[in-house]
Amino acid sequence: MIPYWFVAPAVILFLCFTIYPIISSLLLSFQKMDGGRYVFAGFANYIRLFHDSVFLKALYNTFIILIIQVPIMLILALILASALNSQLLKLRGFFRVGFFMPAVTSLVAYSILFSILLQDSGLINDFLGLFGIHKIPWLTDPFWAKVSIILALTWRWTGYNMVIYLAAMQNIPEELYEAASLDGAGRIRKFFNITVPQLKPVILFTAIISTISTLQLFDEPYNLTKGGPANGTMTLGLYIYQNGFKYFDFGYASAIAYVVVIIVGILSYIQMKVTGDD
Amino acid sequence: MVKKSIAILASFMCILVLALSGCGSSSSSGGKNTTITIWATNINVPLLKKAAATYKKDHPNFNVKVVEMANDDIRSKFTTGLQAQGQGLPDAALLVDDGINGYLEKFPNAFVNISSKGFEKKYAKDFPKYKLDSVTYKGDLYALPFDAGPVGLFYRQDIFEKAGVDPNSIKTWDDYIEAGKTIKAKTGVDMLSYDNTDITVYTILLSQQGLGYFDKNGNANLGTSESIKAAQLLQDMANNKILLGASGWNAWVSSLQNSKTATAIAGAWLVGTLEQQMPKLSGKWRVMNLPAFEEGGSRSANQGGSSFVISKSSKNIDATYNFLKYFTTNYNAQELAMKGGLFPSYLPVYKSSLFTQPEKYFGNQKVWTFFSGEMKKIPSVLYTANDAVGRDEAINMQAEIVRGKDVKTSVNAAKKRVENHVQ
Amino acid sequence: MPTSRIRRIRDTIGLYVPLIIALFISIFPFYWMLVGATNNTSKMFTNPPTLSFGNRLMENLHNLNDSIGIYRVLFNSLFVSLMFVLLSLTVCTLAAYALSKFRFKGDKIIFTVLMLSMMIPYQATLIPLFRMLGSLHLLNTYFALIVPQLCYPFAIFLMRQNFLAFPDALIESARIDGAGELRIFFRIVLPSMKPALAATAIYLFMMQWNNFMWPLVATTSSDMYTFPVALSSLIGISIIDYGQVMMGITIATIPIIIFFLVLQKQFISGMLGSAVK
Repeated sequence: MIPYWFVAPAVILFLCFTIYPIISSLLLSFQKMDGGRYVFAGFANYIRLFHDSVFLKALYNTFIILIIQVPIMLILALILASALNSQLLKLRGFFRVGFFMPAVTSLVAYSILFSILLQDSGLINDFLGLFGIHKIPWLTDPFWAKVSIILALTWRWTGYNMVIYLAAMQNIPEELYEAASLDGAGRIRKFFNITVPQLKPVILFTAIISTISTLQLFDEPYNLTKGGPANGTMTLGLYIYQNGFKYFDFGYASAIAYVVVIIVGILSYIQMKVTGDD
Repeated sequence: MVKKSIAILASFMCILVLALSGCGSSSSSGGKNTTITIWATNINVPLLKKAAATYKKDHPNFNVKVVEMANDDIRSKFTTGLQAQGQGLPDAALLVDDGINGYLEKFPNAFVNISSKGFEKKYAKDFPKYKLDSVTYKGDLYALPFDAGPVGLFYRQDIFEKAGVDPNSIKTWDDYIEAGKTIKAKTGVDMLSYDNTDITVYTILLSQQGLGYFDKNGNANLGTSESIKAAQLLQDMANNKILLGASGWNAWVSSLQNSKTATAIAGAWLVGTLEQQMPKLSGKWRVMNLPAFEEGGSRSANQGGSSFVISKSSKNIDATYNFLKYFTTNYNAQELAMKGGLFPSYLPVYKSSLFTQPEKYFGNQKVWTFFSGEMKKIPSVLYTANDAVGRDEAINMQAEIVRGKDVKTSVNAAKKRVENHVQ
Repeated sequence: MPTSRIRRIRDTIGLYVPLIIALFISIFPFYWMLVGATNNTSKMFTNPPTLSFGNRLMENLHNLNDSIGIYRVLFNSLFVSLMFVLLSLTVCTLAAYALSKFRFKGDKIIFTVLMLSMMIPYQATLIPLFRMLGSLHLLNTYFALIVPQLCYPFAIFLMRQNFLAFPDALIESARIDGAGELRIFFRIVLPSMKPALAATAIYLFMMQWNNFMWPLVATTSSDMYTFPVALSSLIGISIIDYGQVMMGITIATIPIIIFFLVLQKQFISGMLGSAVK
């Protein structure tokens, strides 16, 4: 009775504006464009995916970025949150806002910014040059381009995750830490034995969300490197967009999207099983 | 009591939601007044508005609403609209020429046939052949021609002088490379800076030879001898260390501004960019023809340029056509376009003094006379729906070639990839 | 004792130094953005880079308004984002509460489907959604910008996690005391959810404020543009006025920072005043 009323608005909106388009695009994935209209094509799109070297490259790139960037970012966020949680710190609010700000920037802005800073002759290489480090081809080499994307993503999202962790940390009862101090535990021991376990649900949550967004990664490769050089930063999300809006092949694009869905499903399942949550 | 406040809250929400649906603008053409919507990039907005105001004097019930968008956005939205059977599309849009044929191949009912409206009969003589060809599909015009991008080789007079290179001695690409070697040796500056995330230069080199990415039978031109020549040129430049790769538009502009390159290959629009972004370099730049691939060969090409398409789903096709016909063939409107930073393809307007005056930024060179003189020499190029795939693979090919990979291998591999991708 | 004091100082420095470096990395691009907003576009790519403020603030602002009608755009973004947060928070919080504190037929299915839907890349659902709104003649309205995404699974997840942590015992005892479900929800549970609500609100606001693809596709006239779409129309042409662009970005960034600052206080007071232990 009551719960149904509570859940009704969400469900109605969901059915209209989410379920319907999802089913519609699933149907599209089994269709092909022919002279301005869509015709049924069975599994043709999906089969094409296996032979598509660009798709496989996109898959590979997306995974590399995922495996490297997400853990680095989450660990960094944990460390920063921990630092901000420390008793020794004044001006906590100031630092918190400062770290959160990148998450707030518009993509146009920070892409332009990074594309200029990371030029061969840009500020960052100039700065590294002061330490005698040779110029790094941040955006002109497929390997370094991936690094650049990872750097940009980390810059942008660490602060956001940090804020989440900080809020959760401030909910951890002081008594736990005091008891540990009495037992002679140092800072690091406290971190690993109290903070991290208490934060487990939140960490899992940020991990899953970061995984999902990284698997759909579009904005950064689109604005910063356009998927290059040599498809070095082509991601699944970008490839979907490219096929749909550049090559007019929406059936194929939908098929790619559903493959992403399956992958995300599998990964999320694994993540949940590994941490033993619901 | 709580139930009552819930009821109030719920009805408040409902009212809010309903109110929202009423808000916002909707397209119009009610009653006697006709209002048409045109999508165009920022730079065209003032021109269209002024032209609309003038047009209105003879057509009092006619209004034009210009919606400004970036080119990529116009393309995305148009694609979305066409896939949704014409929903949300404007009456007209200013599309970049190289994408128009592509739309027609995938969506045969996208645009109004302009030839059938009589445009060709009356006005074909007022536009260069290559421009009309670029908006022709299966023998008919499907867009009203507007601005163009005649290409020039922009060069730094001061750097050439310092190295003792005479620009008039550069007639072929081989001459160009020799000059580049001299310049690099004497001044340390690279000969050509190019955006390596894009394929502008290679595309210009192809179009200089009259080729697009596909031939009329749908074969990829990547493997042709012309393509090999273009690719080889890039590799030769790289091998002689006179080629500077900049990743992205901003980086490329930066390289020009910081005098890291002696030349640049671009359409006439570069004049505006140079004058606005690099005022400090005034007096130092000049323009000349592209070098030819062989003695006496083509020295002209086009890059960019857009034309007006009219959506077949428009409710005001005739009114829209009449206005655009006026705009694209009116001397004053085209002169205004020229003042606004665009290069018109309407031949009669080249008589205007705007085209014959010396340009101070270019050391008083009559750059516009140069560009208008190019228009009749530019070879026609075929645009197709799969060009985007061709371009993307060419970018990958370009990256390999400037790193020294064997040209023939690279070119043929790219051709294969394209043909695999295209159905 | 002296050694522990030295240790304290060392710890404090060890804490502050890396933090300040990290903060600098975080903030420098914003400073650079302000530099761009107050300078002429030709100063954007100079080498050595221009790092000081110029005097073209008013001029860039004026030009920007001429180009894209920035006050209207600001209004659109603010209205859409705030309305979105208000409505979405309501819808999602209600649903999250039901899904966390009640057992009813279909609750597992609803939740699973909601979570699974997050895995669908938005690019794929763009066109069907567009088609639907088009046929309802609702394109280019605030409805189109706000309503389709109101049920935001992420927000439901977030709120649900927090509700789960709320002690069932308190709810039970309130029920025994005879309180109605709605009163329990509004008077007992919700007040201690302020931090969660604030965090969710911030996320929703951010997401909607920076949303690009959908507003691009759903609006057909410039007077309905939100910020990202308006700014995009300034790029992608050959003559870009970076002074305008940077000014636009600056204006686009300010409201969202204010939003965060305002709710940040809520966060803290919510936590200090939290009586749920």
